[in-house]
Amino acid sequence: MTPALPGGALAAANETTVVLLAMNGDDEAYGELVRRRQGAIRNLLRRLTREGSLADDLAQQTFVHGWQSIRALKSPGAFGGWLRKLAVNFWLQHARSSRQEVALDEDLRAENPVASVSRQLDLDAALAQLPSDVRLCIVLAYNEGMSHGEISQTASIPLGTVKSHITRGSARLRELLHAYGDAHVQ
Amino acid sequence: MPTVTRMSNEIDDRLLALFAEARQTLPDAEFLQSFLARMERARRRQRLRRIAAVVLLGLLAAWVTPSILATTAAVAQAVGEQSRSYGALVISPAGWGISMLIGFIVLLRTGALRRR
Repeated sequence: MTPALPGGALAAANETTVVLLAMNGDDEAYGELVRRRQGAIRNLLRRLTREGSLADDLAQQTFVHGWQSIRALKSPGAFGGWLRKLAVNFWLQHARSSRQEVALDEDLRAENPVASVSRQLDLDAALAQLPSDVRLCIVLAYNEGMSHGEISQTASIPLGTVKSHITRGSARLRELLHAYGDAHVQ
Repeated sequence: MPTVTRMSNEIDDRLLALFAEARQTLPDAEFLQSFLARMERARRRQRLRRIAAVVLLGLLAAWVTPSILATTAAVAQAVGEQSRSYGALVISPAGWGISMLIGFIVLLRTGALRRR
């Protein structure tokens, strides 16, 4: 049993200690973990969903689920990856439940792939043009800096598929951003 | 906010830079407040589920216990009656004979009667 830290010490404690405390049922420690990780998880989900409020909702579901199941964590060092996997699973669940809507969007895009895109195209809008699996691989690679192997594990997608998604997705993303005159990718 | 430094596979540097630029520092106060409220709701739900499970188990026990007790009493009575007739059998000459036969078979199987 890890003893609780005095007030204020949590913020200064290293993550392993805070995770151990949270694994022992210390809710304040878990709150500290949420404070530290919320930015990264919310940014990841914003890249995936393109909607701030939806991303925050999924991030909160992720953190609540994390709080309920943190005792199942095998080692404190795995906390970051475990949380990211939870977030990806919540997004996949959401994407599957709204698949019909996505399919309709994709049909419209197929008719006129460039003209249907808003003029205020930004990275998130370009990402939204990619099929969900491809978008996930691209975001995990570029936003999270994960290797193909790590993406394969996190997203439960075969390694070969991850590689092809990243190659095709990168090309498509460049093409979309180039079409809207983004100086970064010209 | 974590910075992306580790890329073990070939990746487009321009896209990488674009993703880094797009990463925002998000205001956390409202998010954390909302998370704490959600956690409190989840905690309350968890507590209610536990209470409901205990109540359900209590009701189940109250419903099932009389029939379990009745069955147990019937079984005990039947066993008692049977053991009375077995007792009479064991002390009869036939019972002695059968007991000795069983004992003999056991000794034979364990090899206790074998010459060394």
